[in-house]
Amino acid sequence: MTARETKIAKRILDALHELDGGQAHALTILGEIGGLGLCSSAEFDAVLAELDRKKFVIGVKSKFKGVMWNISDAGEAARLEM
Amino acid sequence: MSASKKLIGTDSGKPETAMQQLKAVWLRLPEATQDYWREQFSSARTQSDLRAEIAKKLSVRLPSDSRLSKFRAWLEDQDTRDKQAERMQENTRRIQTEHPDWTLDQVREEVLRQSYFETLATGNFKLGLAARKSDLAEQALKFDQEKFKESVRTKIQSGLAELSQHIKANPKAQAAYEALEKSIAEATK
Repeated sequence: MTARETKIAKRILDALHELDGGQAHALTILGEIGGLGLCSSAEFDAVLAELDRKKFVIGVKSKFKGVMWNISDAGEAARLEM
Repeated sequence: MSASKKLIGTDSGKPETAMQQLKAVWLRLPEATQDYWREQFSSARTQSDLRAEIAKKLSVRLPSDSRLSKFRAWLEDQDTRDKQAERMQENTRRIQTEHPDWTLDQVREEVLRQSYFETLATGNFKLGLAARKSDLAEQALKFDQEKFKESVRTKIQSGLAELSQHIKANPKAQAAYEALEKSIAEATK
């Protein structure tokens, strides 16, 4: 990841950490980290997908809510190292 | 050791607290079971009675009533986020249908804006604040752009004023200068 992507990834993990074990929709996370003023949708989606690929976040699909995300133990550890 | 009896640990090496276990169990419960527990939480049952049933049915032993109260507060926040997620999904679908030509950024910007007003209307200032953060970031960006424009405008104006002094004696140059000045004023409005 580039420095910018790492910055976005850290903000995503921080936002999920603040949920204290809870889950949030991608747009709630996007709003929480500074919205489209911070990064474009494409950048945000790419970083979130990368975090998912690395198993730092867990996405749970739901019929009405879309995908709800939470942070994994590996994500918590990675967050502290970023 | 069977999987169900395996100790759950964190990266720090410390075992998970009962509260963390309960949150993890909760997120895996089917919606119907969650609804059952929500009914119990809003019933007249005592906290200790509820803790006993949680221990029996969910295998999580909350050490005190205050833990259960904290869990219920966390659950309230999670339920609010769930409702917000549903509205965001619905708003995204609706806006995409209404504006098929919009980019994903435009759609999401509108969803976040609506979410901000919806959360404020329902009195949820915590979620509203989260949505507002993006609003503020955008405003800060616009403010920076305005500041940059203003500094460029000032520099151009002082440069043009100096140039004007030098070409006063040349009518052709003066006319070209005035046309240029007008175009620049329009462009940096």
